[in-house]
Amino acid sequence: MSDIAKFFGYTPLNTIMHRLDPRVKFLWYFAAILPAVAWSDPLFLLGILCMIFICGALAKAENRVMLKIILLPFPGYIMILLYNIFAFDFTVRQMIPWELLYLGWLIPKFNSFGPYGHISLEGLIFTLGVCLRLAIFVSASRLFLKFTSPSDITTALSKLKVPVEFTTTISIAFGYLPELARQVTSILDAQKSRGWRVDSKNPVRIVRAYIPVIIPIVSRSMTRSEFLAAAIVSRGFGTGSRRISLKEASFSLQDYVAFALLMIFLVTSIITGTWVLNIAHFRFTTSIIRQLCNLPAI
Amino acid sequence: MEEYAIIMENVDWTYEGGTEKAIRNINLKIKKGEIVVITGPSGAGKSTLCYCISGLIPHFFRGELRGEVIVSGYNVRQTPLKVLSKEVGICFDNPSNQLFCATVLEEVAFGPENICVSRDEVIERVRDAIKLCRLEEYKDKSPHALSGGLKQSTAIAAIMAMRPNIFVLDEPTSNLDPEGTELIFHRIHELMSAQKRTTIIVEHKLEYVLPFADRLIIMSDGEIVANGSVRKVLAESELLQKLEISVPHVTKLAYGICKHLSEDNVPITLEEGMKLLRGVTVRKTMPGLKELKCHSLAGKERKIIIKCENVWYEYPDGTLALKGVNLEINEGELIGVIGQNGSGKTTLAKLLNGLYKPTKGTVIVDGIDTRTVDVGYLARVVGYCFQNPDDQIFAKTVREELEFGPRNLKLPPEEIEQRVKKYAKKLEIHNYLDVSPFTLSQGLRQRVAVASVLTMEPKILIIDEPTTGQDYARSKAIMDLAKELNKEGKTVIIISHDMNLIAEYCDRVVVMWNGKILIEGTTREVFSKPQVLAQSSLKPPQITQLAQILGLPPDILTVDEMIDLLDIKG
Repeated sequence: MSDIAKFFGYTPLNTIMHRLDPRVKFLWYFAAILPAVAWSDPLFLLGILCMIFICGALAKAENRVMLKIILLPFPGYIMILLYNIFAFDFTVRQMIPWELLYLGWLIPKFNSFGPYGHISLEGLIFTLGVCLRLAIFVSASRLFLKFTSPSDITTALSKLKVPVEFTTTISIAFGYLPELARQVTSILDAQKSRGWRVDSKNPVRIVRAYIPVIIPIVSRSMTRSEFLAAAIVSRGFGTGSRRISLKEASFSLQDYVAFALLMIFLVTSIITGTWVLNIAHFRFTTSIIRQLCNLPAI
Repeated sequence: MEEYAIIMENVDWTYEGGTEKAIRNINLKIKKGEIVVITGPSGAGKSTLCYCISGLIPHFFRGELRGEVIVSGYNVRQTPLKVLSKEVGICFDNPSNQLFCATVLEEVAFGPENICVSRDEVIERVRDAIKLCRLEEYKDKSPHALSGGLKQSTAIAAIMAMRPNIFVLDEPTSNLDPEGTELIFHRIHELMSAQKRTTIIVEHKLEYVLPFADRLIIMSDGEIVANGSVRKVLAESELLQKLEISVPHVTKLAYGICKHLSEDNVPITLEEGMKLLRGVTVRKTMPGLKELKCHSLAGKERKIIIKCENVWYEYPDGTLALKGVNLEINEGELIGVIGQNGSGKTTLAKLLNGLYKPTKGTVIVDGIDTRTVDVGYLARVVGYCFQNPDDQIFAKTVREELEFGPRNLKLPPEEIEQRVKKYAKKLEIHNYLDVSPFTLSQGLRQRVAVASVLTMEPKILIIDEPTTGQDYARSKAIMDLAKELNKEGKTVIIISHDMNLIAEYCDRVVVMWNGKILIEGTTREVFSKPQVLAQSSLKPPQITQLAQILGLPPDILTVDEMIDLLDIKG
């Protein structure tokens, strides 16, 4: 019943997304993440986010949970906003050749104090872009883990000639996440029932306050890992012989089509967005807004 | 030599860092195709014996091995695990600790993928194992999302796919509810009938497993103390009673009423119990039936300490765990909550201590509406002992562990010290106060966990699954403690799968099913309605079932009551 497991666990379903070859799934992930790093325009990034939601619908991910995931780094969004209000003028501003449209101050002048935090249209648009990058990163990662089983990751890595011990470790680690989440919930409940709570704002005290939770998590994980290791070796792992995979990684027509589309998108998005047309720069949205508000063009 | 699957000669094993031998003087020969059940108190060395047979000792666990272990003709000491893993398959007690793949299919395939057989053979083995364990409809599901019984079925299928000649099942049902236990034994029985392979089953629940076993071995203190055909060993009543082995009720009944027990007349199943009693009752005992008194609480004026009114609870993921529960618990009651996993028992308990707040309806505990206070505040009224003591043990010493709760309640140091002393003494852990709780045995750790809740001096104590993974003697010890605390005035709520212990100890029983209370009443009332219990796949204790079949009072709860009723004691 753990939310953590629900957020990060693999859901075995038979959807078009789940059926993709693991290598195509990796490519999908990079196609979602890399343009987000290269681009800063909110409208384009919003387009990518919509694509992720469409893929989410294809993978039968609940929209409600997807939205929750996007809101998860909410404090991060606030931090990004505050940082940009105070630092935009000294950082990104230096690279903008046009006059910024200032909207006002976050902290107005009061006697000799202030003003601080110069809010500009460009600053806000840029902030929105950065927040969307973060949203794309968390939602794409979550969706990737939802339709990519840990063994898919193993299969894809094996195809890339990664040693089997490493790929199996990765696979088991991912497989362990939902169980770990259940364990953490149970331990938290047990300690809360003994009156445990964290009511300090001092970071050192907070860390100390978590000791009663961290120690049982570690000790139980260690016990579990010993049994797990015993179970793994008793099922013939580490025998040194070549591992035969039940799943044969072979491209179907669907995989070829998806692979081609993703490659085209990835290449064109990076080229057009970064070097050639520079359309993915946040001036695209800025100029649209300026035009709509009858402001001087840039 | 060829007819034996396993030969152990003078085997001793000491774990690295251990001072005592975990098993010693083990001499054992098991024939091919034999089904052997091993039982005995916790710490007797049963699991260690399994590890020796599977080769985990000496190849995985470190320590000192003496003597010879020969498995399928291989000397275990000299044979690498990769060879042994094809000969012996081992399944552990906790299914969650041995499943690590994303789907049932991948889990079952993991073994054959490792042992260098062709891809077609991997596919064939996986298909057969999944079919034999009847997991077809779950093959694409995550094993962690399945019920306990199906999880363990997956673990068994994963071993089946390795096609070993020897199966070792180390307490395969200790973490399962009655339905899961039935399912697993049913499955094991089916597998054994389909393909007779050498099978070693370590088990406390003898009632389920003995009917299809060939041999019974009793271990105690690292040694084999009895070894022979099932009935021959069961006939050794003195030894079994001394070791507090949980034999089937009908067997225990025979110990009480038969003067001369032998291999030929020891009953195991309900049918054999009927035969035993038919002979007895027809001759002279029927007229001697005594009226059993029901310890009904009706008529006694008691304060209501817990009141649930139309309580609904929905988990954040939308699972409706409770659907309109109405329940009143009186102060000073010892109440048992039973039901299958997922029936809502633990959710109900967590609503009582405020960990969860009702989605709809109210929970009033000692006059406090749980929605108005946090769990920390309620901790002084309701103490909750979790199933696994390792979920809460964290401190450097037992003393610190015991101090943790009252400290959270911001009690003065003198008061805390006084409480720690009082409850450490009460639970007989006062000699370990300055010892690390992690170094204690499981039984002692459980007592530390209970004591650490008691130091908060709650009026109500909830004990969640106190018998999971425990032998009969330890389970009884915890129930005795619950009874004692109850006598001192505490309201005690016990959540358990063990019908025999619930029947023996509780005043009242609540049966949960599908998020609702299916039936509640005095223990006698509830267990005398087997048809209602069957709705939630529960059964009354074997002795109660026997009485009901024979037309004796349907609310007999223990073997001793049955013996009293038959009036032939001595």
